[in-house]
Amino acid sequence: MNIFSLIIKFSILQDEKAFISELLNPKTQNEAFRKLLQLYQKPLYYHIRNMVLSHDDADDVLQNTFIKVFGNLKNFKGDSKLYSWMYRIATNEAITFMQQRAKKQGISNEEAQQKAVNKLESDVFFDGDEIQLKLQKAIATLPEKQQLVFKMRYFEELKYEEMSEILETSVGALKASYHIAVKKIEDFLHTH
Amino acid sequence: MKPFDLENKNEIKSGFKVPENYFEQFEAKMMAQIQPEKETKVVSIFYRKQVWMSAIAAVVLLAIAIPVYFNMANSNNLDATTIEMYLSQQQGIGITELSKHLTDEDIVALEQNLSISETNSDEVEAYLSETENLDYYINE
Repeated sequence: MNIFSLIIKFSILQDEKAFISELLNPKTQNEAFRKLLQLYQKPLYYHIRNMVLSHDDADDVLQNTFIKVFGNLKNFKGDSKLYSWMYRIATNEAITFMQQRAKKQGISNEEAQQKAVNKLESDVFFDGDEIQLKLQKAIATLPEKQQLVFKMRYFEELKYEEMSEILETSVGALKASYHIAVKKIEDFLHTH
Repeated sequence: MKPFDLENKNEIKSGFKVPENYFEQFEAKMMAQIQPEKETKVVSIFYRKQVWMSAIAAVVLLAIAIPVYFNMANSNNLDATTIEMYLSQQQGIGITELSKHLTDEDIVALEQNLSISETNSDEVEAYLSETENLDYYINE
């Protein structure tokens, strides 16, 4: 790492520190929180929506995510970047939601996810064509972690380094997961 | 059917849409949600203020009440003129009532004050025998 990239990294961290203290200061809190919403609501919404699939559920989970983010800001240690911390909260909230959804229906997580995919056909906020729906069905056959990795890389176009920070998994393991997922999905699409 | 190749440029979108103005509305909703938290804080501060106010009121009340109480307790020590006035106005209180409450020490003190002692008791007797209206005084 050369001196310039070190300086850039340092200044980003300083900016983030300043932003976090704005979020914690009662005087600047409101405007800082608005800024946080404007920056992150869209990417976090799509991250959650890709996992839970229905808009209404995504809306609920996104709301819980921001409430948690706001409530836990004072405990944010700054060990990781703010965005990866928020993505992690959103991911955990979505996983918890999906587990509860399955439990309520008395079925397994996989079955619940299949059901959610089947509902997409009649969803007014899903305008996918046949191939898009098929892709969703293919993804739903994957193990949970592979689904998550595939969606973050393919739909959200996150970098492996970013995914590594969010999921606390090595880049190598993520790359392997992604390639396995791609292979399985391609196979599914060819045979269905 | 042409083979699917997810890695090439023919990217498939997720197909997820959101209602119109969803993000604007979401932002407004979240901003409103963090407001009530502040309002409850205001209420709690106000509540604390009330507690503080009543604590201060209690201290002030005690500060006034304690000296007043001790002053009242002190005023039980009635001054001599008040007692004299009282006694003179009470019809039922005479020599017998007073003497009942006198202790031996009181009598000795009285004797000393009036210079009556064994040594001059003869003089007193002589005085009494010489006085003509003695019967009248004694009956009185």
